[in-house]
Amino acid sequence: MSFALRLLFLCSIFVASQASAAPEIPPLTGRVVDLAGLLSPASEAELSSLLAAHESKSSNQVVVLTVPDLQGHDIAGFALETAREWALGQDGRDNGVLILIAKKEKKMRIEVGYGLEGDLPDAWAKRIIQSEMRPAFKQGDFDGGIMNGTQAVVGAIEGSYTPAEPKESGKETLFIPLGLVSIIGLSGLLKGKVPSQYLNGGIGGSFAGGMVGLATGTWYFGVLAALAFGLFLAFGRSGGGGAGGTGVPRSDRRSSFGSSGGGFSGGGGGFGGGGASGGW
Amino acid sequence: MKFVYRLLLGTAALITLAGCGINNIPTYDESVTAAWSNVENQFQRRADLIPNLVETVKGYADHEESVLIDVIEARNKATQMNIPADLLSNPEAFAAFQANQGAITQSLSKLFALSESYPDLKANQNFLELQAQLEGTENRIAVARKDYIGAVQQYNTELRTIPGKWWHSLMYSEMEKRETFSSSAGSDANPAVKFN
Repeated sequence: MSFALRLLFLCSIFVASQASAAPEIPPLTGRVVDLAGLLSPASEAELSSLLAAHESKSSNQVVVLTVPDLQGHDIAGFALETAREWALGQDGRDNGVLILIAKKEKKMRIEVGYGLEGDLPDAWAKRIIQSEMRPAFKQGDFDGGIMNGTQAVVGAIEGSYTPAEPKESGKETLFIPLGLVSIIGLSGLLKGKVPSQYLNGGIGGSFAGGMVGLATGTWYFGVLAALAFGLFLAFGRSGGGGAGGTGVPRSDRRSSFGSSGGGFSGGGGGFGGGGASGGW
Repeated sequence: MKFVYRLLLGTAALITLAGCGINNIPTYDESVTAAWSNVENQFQRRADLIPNLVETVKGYADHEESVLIDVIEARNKATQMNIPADLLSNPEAFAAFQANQGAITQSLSKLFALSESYPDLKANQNFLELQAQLEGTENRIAVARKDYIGAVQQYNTELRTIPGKWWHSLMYSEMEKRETFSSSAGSDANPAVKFN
């Protein structure tokens, strides 16, 4: 085994070790995540459709989260971590808002994304907490308080953004045309000039790389997999017979990343600690 | 044909090196710089809010002059500080910067504590807005500090661990370890925010 191959092996270990664990954040199951059970089914549905309508109008992503407790964190930290993990708001616009209510600690917070800090300044967020939410919460009327607070938040930022263009999944889709072009180019260039196992190695390698790239969303994983698999196909097997990836229909490849199923997810917005907190 | 092989081999080598983190040090250095400029922005934002706040409080609590003077002096000391270009890799200057900003935080929390005993002031709309903005800014400062600490940690760790350590000595020896915030009493924690 040559030095270069050893180095390659070493590096692939380094790359694999770069993945890290995520903090403990509740899953984003919809626009209203009522883990503390503070909302009636009717209000939950009404809020969800209000927020969905607001998003389709303005591309702003407003989400309501209620939790039974904060797991020992302070409300500002918990709200920030959650909003960042969920990536509420659109990428580049950072137009997300998280309304968080913690039942046990009796605290609430409106966490405002970078892009909406101008439309919903801290002082407004604080006023919404104190005049819309707190009085109702004090009387145990969570339905009314959350409804009023959310409507006030939406009202405050309404019309501040024009509808966003449909989201493009830029990086991932690149792999397919890229892979095809390189396969076509390579086969044209090398046709009849190299033994077939090298060709198979190239094709199979690009293909495997494309798939891994799609699955991980990280380009260098893809490229590394392409190299490893290509080398294996070209040198690792005697005879170098068929079995290339070319038999897989394109539609199958697409489905590996295109099947999100219409669920709600964050658009990639950023948060920097804007907003206000309160209690009842 | 040889050319094609060389090209392929060269590309493979480059990509392998990228996987090995040859670009990590400059990349992490950029995120440290970006995180730092956010910290500076938030400190500046706080400094900009202070004159208005002091003016507003003055009208209601003018015999608490010493607290107000403390706030103004702390602010002026921080904004007039001579900041060297190598602040982030200069331990003394960084400690001084941190101490100056910490002094503002402390003087402000004294001011807000004092405002509790002036009902007229607490009912003033202008004061309430400024208070909400300053609370928000303190929270943003805390977030920006946390992000900066994370970025520096990543960068410094890269300098001191393999393979980053190798790349550092081979190619980036001019890049220094960065300073980060230490948690000193009062300057680190969020000032207590009263919810009533």
